[in-house]
Amino acid sequence: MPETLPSPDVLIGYPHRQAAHCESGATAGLLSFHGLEISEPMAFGIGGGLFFGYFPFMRLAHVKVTTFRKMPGAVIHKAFKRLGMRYHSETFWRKGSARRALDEALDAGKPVACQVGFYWLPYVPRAFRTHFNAHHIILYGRQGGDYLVSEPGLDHVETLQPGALERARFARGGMNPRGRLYWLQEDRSPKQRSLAKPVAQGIKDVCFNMLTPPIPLLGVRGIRFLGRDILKWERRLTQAQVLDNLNQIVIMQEVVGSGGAGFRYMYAAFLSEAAQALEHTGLAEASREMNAIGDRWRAFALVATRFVKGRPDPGDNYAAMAGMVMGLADREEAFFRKLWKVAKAIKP
Amino acid sequence: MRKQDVPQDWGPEAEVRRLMYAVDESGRFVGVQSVGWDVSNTGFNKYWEHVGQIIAAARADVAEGRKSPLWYWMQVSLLDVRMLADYMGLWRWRVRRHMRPGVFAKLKPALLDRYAAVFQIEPAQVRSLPEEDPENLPIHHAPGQGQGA
Repeated sequence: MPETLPSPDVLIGYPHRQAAHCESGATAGLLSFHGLEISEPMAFGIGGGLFFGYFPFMRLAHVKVTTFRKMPGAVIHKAFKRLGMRYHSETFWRKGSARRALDEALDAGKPVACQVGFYWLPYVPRAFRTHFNAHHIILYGRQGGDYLVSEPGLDHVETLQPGALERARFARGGMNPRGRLYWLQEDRSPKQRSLAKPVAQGIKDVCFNMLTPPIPLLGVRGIRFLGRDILKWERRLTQAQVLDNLNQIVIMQEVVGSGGAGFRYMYAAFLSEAAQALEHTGLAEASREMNAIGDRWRAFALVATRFVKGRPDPGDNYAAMAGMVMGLADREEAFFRKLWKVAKAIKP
Repeated sequence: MRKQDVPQDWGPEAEVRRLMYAVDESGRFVGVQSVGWDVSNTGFNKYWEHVGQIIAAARADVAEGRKSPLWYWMQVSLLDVRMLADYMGLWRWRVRRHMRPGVFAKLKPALLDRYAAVFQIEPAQVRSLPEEDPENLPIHHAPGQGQGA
């Protein structure tokens, strides 16, 4: 293959903003750049990102999968679609064409969202290293052969060498990015969109997924499944296994970039912003309740951590912890039933 | 969560100052940077302790001839057989077979080079167990300490 000429520098005036979560951060960043000023929680809510799923038989980097969000990629697609923005999404079989497509988009002055394997990003602190292949970053230019990266999780920008970027874009082993790129095919003129319809769609999507799961591991049924499992652990597993399990839930809830309490706080922020934009008191009330639910999830994490540390308080036991989870399931069920009615009543 | 309740317990997350959403005095949600929370710090420590034990056990398995060095390199790269097979473009049973010392000894150099490329190490390194664990992992135990764990 002929050696490619050194690429000329490109610098797109993309304003970097730190986000709590990579995918919603990238979505909000691209939308804001193309004239639809929107916050990260708003993008998350319109994309319908909130979820719950419990998969004790699946492991990701030695950790059993408990998810508090929807499948990676869903938020970005659905938010763009519901806001009526024209976008382009592409995967590649060949590394050469993947790089060419990226360079062409950058040359055309478009910042590009790129799905990458987290493990291969050299700027990731070592405590965070894990093979998570659905991380999203924004590339907004080239300088001296390196790519300029707006990493949503960080408060500053980074650069990436082409080799490292290529490795990250073609990470393997589950949720393979295959070099996936997204960009918006819009100009940068300011856009006014009524948020009523997209917000209602996003909320109804989340309510549907939480309340009518096809299998008992998802939605509020999944939370109850977890609650029942915690009770069984005490009988069936060794002490070390139980502590590992508890720690793994806490990791998925609090450590994996979520803005706290397994995305519950971010969703509360979305509801609060939606209430303000639509001047809707029902949503404002829902936001306060979601915030309280988030506090409750964190209280659960705190108890679990006391066990993990081997220093439980006198009142802590597995039955109480299971009770907390069951209580959360009941509370979320009641919450989403009410919210569904509120969303159905929103006039577009 | 209220803005003043956002935990600021110094921990691994201090390196990124992760963003949290919390309610300020006027009842609006704002982003607040956090340097960590006792709960997530414990989560990190416990997780890497767990990974450290897995790596120590892998080291012992290789040193005592139960597994080939590939097993150790796979574990320090935080991979499993399924992912490694995907990176290598091989079937899983072949990768699993390569973990047997006898089979490993007969592998062709070209295949070993491909393994080394996945692990991001020199081709010569993949044939043996290194003295020390790589420094890019925050595992707490000193090498050799966890033998037989």
